[in-house]
Amino acid sequence: MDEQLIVAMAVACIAEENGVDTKHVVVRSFKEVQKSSLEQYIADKGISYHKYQLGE
Amino acid sequence: MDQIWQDSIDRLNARRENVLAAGGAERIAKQHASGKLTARERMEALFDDGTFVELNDQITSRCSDFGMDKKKRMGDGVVTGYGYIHGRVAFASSQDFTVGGGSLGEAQAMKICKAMDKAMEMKAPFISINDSGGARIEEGIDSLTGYADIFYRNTIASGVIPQISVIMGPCAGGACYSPAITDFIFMTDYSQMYITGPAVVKSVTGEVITSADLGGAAVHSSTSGVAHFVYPDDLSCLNGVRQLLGYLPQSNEDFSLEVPGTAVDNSANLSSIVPADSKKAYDVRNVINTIVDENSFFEVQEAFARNIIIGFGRIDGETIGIIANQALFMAGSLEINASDKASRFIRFCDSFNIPLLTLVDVPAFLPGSQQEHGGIIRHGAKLLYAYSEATVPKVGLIMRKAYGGAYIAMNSKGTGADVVYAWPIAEIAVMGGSGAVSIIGKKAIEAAEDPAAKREELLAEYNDKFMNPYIAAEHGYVDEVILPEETRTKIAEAFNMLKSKDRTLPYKKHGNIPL
Repeated sequence: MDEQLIVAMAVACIAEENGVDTKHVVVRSFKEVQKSSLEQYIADKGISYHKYQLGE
Repeated sequence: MDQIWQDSIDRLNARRENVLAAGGAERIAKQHASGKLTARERMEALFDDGTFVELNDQITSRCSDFGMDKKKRMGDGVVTGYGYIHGRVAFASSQDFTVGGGSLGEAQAMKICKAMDKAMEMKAPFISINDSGGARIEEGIDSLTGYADIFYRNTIASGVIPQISVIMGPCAGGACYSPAITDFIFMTDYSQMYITGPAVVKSVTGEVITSADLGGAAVHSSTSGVAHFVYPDDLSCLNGVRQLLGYLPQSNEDFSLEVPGTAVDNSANLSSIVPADSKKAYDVRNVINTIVDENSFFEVQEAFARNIIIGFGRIDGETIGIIANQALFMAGSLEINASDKASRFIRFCDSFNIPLLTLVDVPAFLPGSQQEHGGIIRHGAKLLYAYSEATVPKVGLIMRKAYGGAYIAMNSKGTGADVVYAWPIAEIAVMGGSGAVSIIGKKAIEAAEDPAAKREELLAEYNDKFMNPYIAAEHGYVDEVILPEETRTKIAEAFNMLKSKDRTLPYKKHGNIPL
């Protein structure tokens, strides 16, 4: 996905969540979230990992 | 933005990058190659996703002796901060082996202490992840004092907030004593703990031994009893910490979270699980798993003193601590290690408002010179002390044997048990029939024309009179004799009734448990 499409989808989500028109959502900055070091390590090593959550 | 702002921001970003670079790419790769995560990755795995907040990331050593001014790095070899585990705040420190081998100096100790102090203020659990070569020699006495500052805080926090130590690399010398004071120790398969390492052992005693044989996870989980949990790697180990914290309250002023689970009452199976013949063994874990909510039993110190089982479970979603004699090992008799294991667990539960369920099937304290000379009197007394001192709800079930001093020590009515149930096959007596008849019927057997027949006659009389739960019930030492199929319901009812239990001990500075 290119940057513009990602931003458009994010705007749509925010607008829907807040019940406002997309015209009223202004994008001031855009920062791509990188994989964390741990996520990268798990991906690189091909580890099967699921973080324990209460109630499991 | 003017230039001053820009320069300041650039400077901060550079310092942040310096902190995150830790010991450098090469050392991080080495850490990964040995199957270990970095200090920050461990924090990320420990806390709920995206919740970890680092504190004091730029603390740096003030030492300049022995070239330390050229070696020092921001953060000083430890990452500290807070985050959320199951949505509740917790504090942690994580030693960074890539920075100076995670060695502890004055600044590192101060950083850890600040996080511990904050945990105490917030009444939240503290988790210490250890991966360190030990004291930073260049910092001399300041390193040692740093350890003392941590041990002091561990002691003051004991019984106030849950403290968990996680050993994920070396933990040597004095460093071992912080984990030892905390409530639970987790180890990974490749970690080690020892007061003196193999090289020193060899030079002092001549004994040649590997690190793993001296202080590896297998040794500490099964032989020394130092470690409570062992996991194969960092990720599974930190998941284990998350699982344990799911059973615990935030502090001694809090109660455990209620976790609705599947409550299936399979108590009707209990009469098939436990053989009526008291000489036959069975796995008491099957009894526990039948009584508690489905899949809620979380065993502690699984491989140590296997003649007694301890762990957490839930009944109707609420945490309880379970202590059970394990007939599979040493017929479930009590000895030094079992007494220590159970006593410490009871005291932990009592400190943190966790009700106790005791499942009794105990023939005796283990006889023999090894036990007597090892101090079974002193160690067994801990169990009596721990039960007597505990003010949390105490519910017991006598399943089969409950003989002599071991009966008294396993949550008997006299030591303050709130509700004691017994199954109809229970045998509550000073000792088993055979031993009893040999003593009380000695003269009659010797004088009889047919000693064997007389012995059988006396044995039948003894068994009929004492080897059942009814005298104990008649005298009020057992509150109710129940059917196996009533077990879960009765126990759940008792804990429910005891929710508002309010018992306080007389004022004292602290008791003097026989250590």
